[in-house]
Amino acid sequence: MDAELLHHPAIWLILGGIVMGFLRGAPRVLLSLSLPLVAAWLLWQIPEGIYGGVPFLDYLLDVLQVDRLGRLFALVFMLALFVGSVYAMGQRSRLEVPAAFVYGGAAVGAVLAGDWITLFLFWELMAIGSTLVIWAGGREAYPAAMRYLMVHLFGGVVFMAGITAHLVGGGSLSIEPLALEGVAHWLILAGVLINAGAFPFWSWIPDAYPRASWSGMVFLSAFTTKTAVYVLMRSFPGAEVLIPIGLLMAGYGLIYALIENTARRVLAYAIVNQVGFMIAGIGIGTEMALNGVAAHAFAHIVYKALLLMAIGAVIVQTGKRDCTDLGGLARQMPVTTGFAIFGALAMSAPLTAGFITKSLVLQAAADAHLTWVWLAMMVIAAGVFLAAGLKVVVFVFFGESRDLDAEEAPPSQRWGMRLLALTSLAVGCYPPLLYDLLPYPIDYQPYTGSHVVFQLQLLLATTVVFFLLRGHLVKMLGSLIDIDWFYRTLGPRWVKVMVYGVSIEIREVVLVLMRGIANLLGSLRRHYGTRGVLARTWPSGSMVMWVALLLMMYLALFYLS
Amino acid sequence: MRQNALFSPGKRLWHTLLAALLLMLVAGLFVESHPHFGIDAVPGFNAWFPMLACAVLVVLARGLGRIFGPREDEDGR
Repeated sequence: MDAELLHHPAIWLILGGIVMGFLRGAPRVLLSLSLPLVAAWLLWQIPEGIYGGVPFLDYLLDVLQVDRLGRLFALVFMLALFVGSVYAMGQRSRLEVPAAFVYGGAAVGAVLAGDWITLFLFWELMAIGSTLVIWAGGREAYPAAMRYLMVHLFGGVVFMAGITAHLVGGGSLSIEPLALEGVAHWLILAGVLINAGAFPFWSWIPDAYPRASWSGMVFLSAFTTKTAVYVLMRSFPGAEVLIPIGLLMAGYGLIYALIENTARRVLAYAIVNQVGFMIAGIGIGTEMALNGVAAHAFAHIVYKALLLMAIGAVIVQTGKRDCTDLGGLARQMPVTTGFAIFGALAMSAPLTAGFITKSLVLQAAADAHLTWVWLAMMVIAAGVFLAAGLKVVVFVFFGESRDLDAEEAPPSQRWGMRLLALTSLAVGCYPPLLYDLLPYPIDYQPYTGSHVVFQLQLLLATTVVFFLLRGHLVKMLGSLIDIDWFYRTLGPRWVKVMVYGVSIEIREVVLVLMRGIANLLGSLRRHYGTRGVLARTWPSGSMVMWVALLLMMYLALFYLS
Repeated sequence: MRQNALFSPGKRLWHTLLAALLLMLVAGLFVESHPHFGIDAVPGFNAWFPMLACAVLVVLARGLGRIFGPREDEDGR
């Protein structure tokens, strides 16, 4: 076993999270702020390479693999844990932040895993950690947490079946690009796609995430889907089937985000949309595209967490979650409003991280001459800015005041938002900060005249359309039937029909059985009951007669034999 | 359900927005670009295409909302 495993950042994060569960107040906060920094430092100390030698069944596991791609994702996850901890300093739940560390630590372990088995173990630990984070959202969150867990356990089983078949079929234990041939690899793909929120398992994201507490969803938005994106990047780069799968997710996310009324569910649909964008990028599969996907995973975690923090602050202040109940908060919460506006712009505006990352993927689609994919990605870029950026910010913070009793967000929440905004700004103003960490060498200049002008055209045009169509957007606020209707409404209804339909016959059978048992018990009672034939006191004369009769039978039998 | 009171951008915001868009459209004529597909060489493509796309999306969403919404379970509220 290699000594470097003692420095495995995931192990420290997970153990720290467990210890945190027993702490309260200042020590807990201190631990939650220092752990991600320590983990990042530990990771930085480990040279690139594969470390392992841990025996498991008949295998030797490479528990830790450090390379550029894994390191980038791990660092982003640690950033998310750190900023999330700053934001969640005032969180009263004793479960949420420790669970988030187990969850985030497992995600770090998954992206640093050198083999399929280690990856799977961390994968399942993530499911448990994230379920606990949702659960910490309160009693209302419990059913959603259970539905979430079931989807992920199912995904885990599919994933495990694929890995097992892959290994039994003589496949390599290390995580390498797989050809989409044979059941094993399709099962692996399906298992990963369930975690990414692909059709038909996308509704767990808008179902479960928005039920977490005000700080819980900040953690949730970072890890699960991005780990799935990471595994897809490693195992299926350039698999063309991912392009339609990703674009379908993106389209679904857009339409549902346009209609949805609950602010954080809009953002949850936007997660599906952006993860779809990334998965389509993985399908393109060129070095430029993969660089773009890795970079965009970073940018997306940052701006989505920023928007979720702003809405989380609103939820803490007002207790309201729906666009129709909110509005005009800019006066009471000017700083939060500023950060929300920045978060919307950070999706793709110049000088923010989103601008230098999204354009990489678009450029990759253009270089590969994929006209329709490129056009679809343009629609996604514009649509998500309208649906998740402009809509959420304008409907929640502007418009007529609702006379809501709200104050500015407390300093810890403001610091969380500030750190994210600064990160996005720093990377946006100085791209090499991020570009130097990308998996492949990169030769791309985001700040050319045409890039900036065309992007500003897109953003301004989208803003104009938004203001022109805002009446329609308000009128359609609500929620749509989703795929989960099949297993949450139709399924139970069907089961009920089945059970009641069958139970008529069951009742008949049970009635017959009961009658039979009753008859049997009745006859036993007649014979052996207190007044039964055999329990009566008999006169001694009749006793003598019965004994004489028995003796006579005995004599007769004796002579006969 | 209470309807969200519309946020109406004032005249000044409208003018700023449209002026900025116009400025960018004009600037777009002068910057050096590398169109890949032909359609992106049409002047102002990055402005009219997203506009059109967003309008179509909103119409599509309204249509779908009429067919599939609102949902009846606890999420519909």
